Amino acid sequence: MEKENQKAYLDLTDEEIVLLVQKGKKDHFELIIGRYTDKLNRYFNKFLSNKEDQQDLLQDVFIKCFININNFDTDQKFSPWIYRIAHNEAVNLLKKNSSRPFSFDIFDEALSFAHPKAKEDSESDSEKLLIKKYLDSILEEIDIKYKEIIILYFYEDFSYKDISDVLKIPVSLVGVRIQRGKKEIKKILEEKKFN
Amino acid sequence: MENLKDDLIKKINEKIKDNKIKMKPKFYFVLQGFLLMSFILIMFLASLYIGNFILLIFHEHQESINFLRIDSFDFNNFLEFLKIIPGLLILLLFVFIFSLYRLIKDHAFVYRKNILYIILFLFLILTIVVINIHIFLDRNFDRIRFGEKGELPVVSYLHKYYRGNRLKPSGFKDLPNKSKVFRNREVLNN
Repeated sequence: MEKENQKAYLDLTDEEIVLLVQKGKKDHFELIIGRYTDKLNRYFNKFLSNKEDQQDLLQDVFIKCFININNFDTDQKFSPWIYRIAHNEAVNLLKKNSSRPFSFDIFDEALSFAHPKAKEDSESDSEKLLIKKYLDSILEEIDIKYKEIIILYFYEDFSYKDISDVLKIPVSLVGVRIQRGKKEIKKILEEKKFN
Repeated sequence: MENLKDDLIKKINEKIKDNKIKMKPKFYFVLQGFLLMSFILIMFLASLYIGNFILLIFHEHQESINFLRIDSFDFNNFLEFLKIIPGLLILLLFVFIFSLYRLIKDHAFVYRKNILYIILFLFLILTIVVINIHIFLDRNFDRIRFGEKGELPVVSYLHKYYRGNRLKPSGFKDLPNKSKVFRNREVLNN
């Protein structure tokens, strides 16, 4: 795509770009790649230590995104959709590499009896920054079930509804897991004697 | 990071130009959606049929075990009850219900509010109960015996296996005028 035209398309939303791609303007897909490479790379960084795996995964995600782009409803938000593809690819790779059976939430006890009051609460920006500051050092120790939700919530700034769309779990369960994830973070930090 | 971005754009653009990756057409997803809806409907109807069939088996055996009569409930009656339980059918019902759950769980209107699973399950139970009450009150027992005459291969096999000599049970059509469910049982027992 020519650089002059690129500037004109910078103001378009993700959904508008996807609509153009769906109408046949395939070269506009590189705008999506440009916008999401850093974000998805950061997302995969938290799960995978192998850089080669990350790069292969990134390519696979964009390829799958392109192949299935006509399945995206442009009335919805695009970012949960592409993160859903990224999540599935990451899970498949982790399952392949893991020596023991891998499961996120086949029969989570909270799935049927999700906490009715685990609604989204607004954390202040400073509170989130404080958690993020310590989170980098302890992320590896957090249970995989909470890790992904914590990454999506604290690093990618997704709302409960967006996280629900990425992971295909009820909104109330997202709240429950974030609360439990925070408790686990607090426990680890106390063990490491952080203030 | 810019190198990674440019590298990715170049690789993917090359694959698009060489037609190594192609967008799936919209029709593909419409057909996929239609097939999924069809499977959901089939699973729902299959669950409904099996649920009703299980109740038919219990209904036909009630005169021999008197299970619902409190005054004669004892260990022997309970053993008889265990014998007539169609275990495989109940297992099949659970398989159908679980399949239904797996088919619908990825849809936004279901996973966002998981209470919809419970509502769907309750709707299935309610439909089975309403059908059975309607049949017993209406006395149109031919509806219970759907498939008994061999018009459908698998269904008629179920009738032969589970109902055996109870095919065309006596007394159903000989009952007096419309009566309630519990009165029916008394007439059959006498």
